[in-house]
Amino acid sequence: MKLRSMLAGVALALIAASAPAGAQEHAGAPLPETSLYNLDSKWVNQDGARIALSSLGGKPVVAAMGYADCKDMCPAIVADMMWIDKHLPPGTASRVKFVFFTFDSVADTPERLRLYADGHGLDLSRWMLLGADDDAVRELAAALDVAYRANGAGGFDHTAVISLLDGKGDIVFQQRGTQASSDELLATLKTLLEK
Amino acid sequence: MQQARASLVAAALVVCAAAAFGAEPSRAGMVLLPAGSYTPFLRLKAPNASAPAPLNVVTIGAFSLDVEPVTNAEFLDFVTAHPEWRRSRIKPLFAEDRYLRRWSGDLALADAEARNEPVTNVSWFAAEAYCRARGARLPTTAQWEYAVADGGRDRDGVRERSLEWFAEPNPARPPALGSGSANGYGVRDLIGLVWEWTLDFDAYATAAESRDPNGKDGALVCGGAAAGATDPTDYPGFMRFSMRASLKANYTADNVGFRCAAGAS
Repeated sequence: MKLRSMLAGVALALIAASAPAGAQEHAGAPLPETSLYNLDSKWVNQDGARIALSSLGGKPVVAAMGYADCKDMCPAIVADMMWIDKHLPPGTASRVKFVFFTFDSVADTPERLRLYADGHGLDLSRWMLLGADDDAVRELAAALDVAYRANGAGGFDHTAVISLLDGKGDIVFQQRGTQASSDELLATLKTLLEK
Repeated sequence: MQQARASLVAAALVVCAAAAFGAEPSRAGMVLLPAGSYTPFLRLKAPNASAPAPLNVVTIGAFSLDVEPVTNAEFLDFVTAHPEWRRSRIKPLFAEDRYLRRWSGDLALADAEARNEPVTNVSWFAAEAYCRARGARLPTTAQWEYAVADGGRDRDGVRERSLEWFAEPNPARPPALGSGSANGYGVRDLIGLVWEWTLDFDAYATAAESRDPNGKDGALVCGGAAAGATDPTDYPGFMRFSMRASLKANYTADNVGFRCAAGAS
């Protein structure tokens, strides 16, 4: 049995939390109150440019967190994202963004993120690698429900979560674990692209 | 909620059947805890199955911690000064809809007695925002556990009172502050009033480079309780880690509050 599923029952009994109501989407309307883009944290991309989260809006975003020196799980996460990219319907690639957020506010400089992108052959017209200070990282991880901690050996222990955001920044799907199939995320993304 | 805590205990029993701030206190109600070390309830996962799991002792720098959990009165002052955290203004990204549900209005507590009761139904985002506004932070899980471990003083008594608290039905409202005595560090009511948020509340739900398909570490329970725990008899410690791992940052539970910390983390 898995801790997560056991705890889900416990948490429901203990907390009786209810899911936030889905926000309605209207063109030109202010951000839904559930949108990730309500976070006002500032990020810096692989080219050293300052990026506000809300500037990611307008297109669906496939987003994940990791760090450049991560040997095992992060390559699997990025590989999943690249698989999704490769299987987008013809002609839709320019309508999707891929964003990799690093946990490592110290080691992952823009230069290092740029090297990481080049090493993986990521198309930087559609991919973005972002870093920020520890507070911004912790807040984003909380909002994306990504658990992580510095492991004391220069790296981070963390959960593998790939989130699909719609154009308004609402999380519409999350893929958890590196052994999960990306089929469902891709199917959800295709639905967004058909809207 | 009476059944909630009972079912939490029951569920855990079933699960485990097998097995940069200054360190100076910035608030009258804070105490300074000395530097030391803390061994988390859970071991890190070994690099491979045959290797022994390493003990991951955490070094704790001296830090200040609130003597008591944050009260409704204190949180009322905060939302008065910071309107975006009022019940009518909070965004669901930051708190689901039970936020401050025991209050009678945006700036009104249920009654006068509530002033000295710990604030509950606050999300991680709101708790952290409160502490930041005070120039403090939420304590890390390691800091919080270090405080409750109390340098080993009265270990069995703390565990016993924890179990008694877990077994009690949840009251309609949390007890007022000051019902417990101060521990060796001068910290009060770490157990017995409310569960408390920590800065990295779900950090120990991860395993090193985990490939668990659920993304969280199933080895923490069952076999893990015996093989992965640093002290398998620390049932209250297991309960706290399980509770924290079940939270999400925008949850606003009836029995979760918080206190703030300052200094090294």
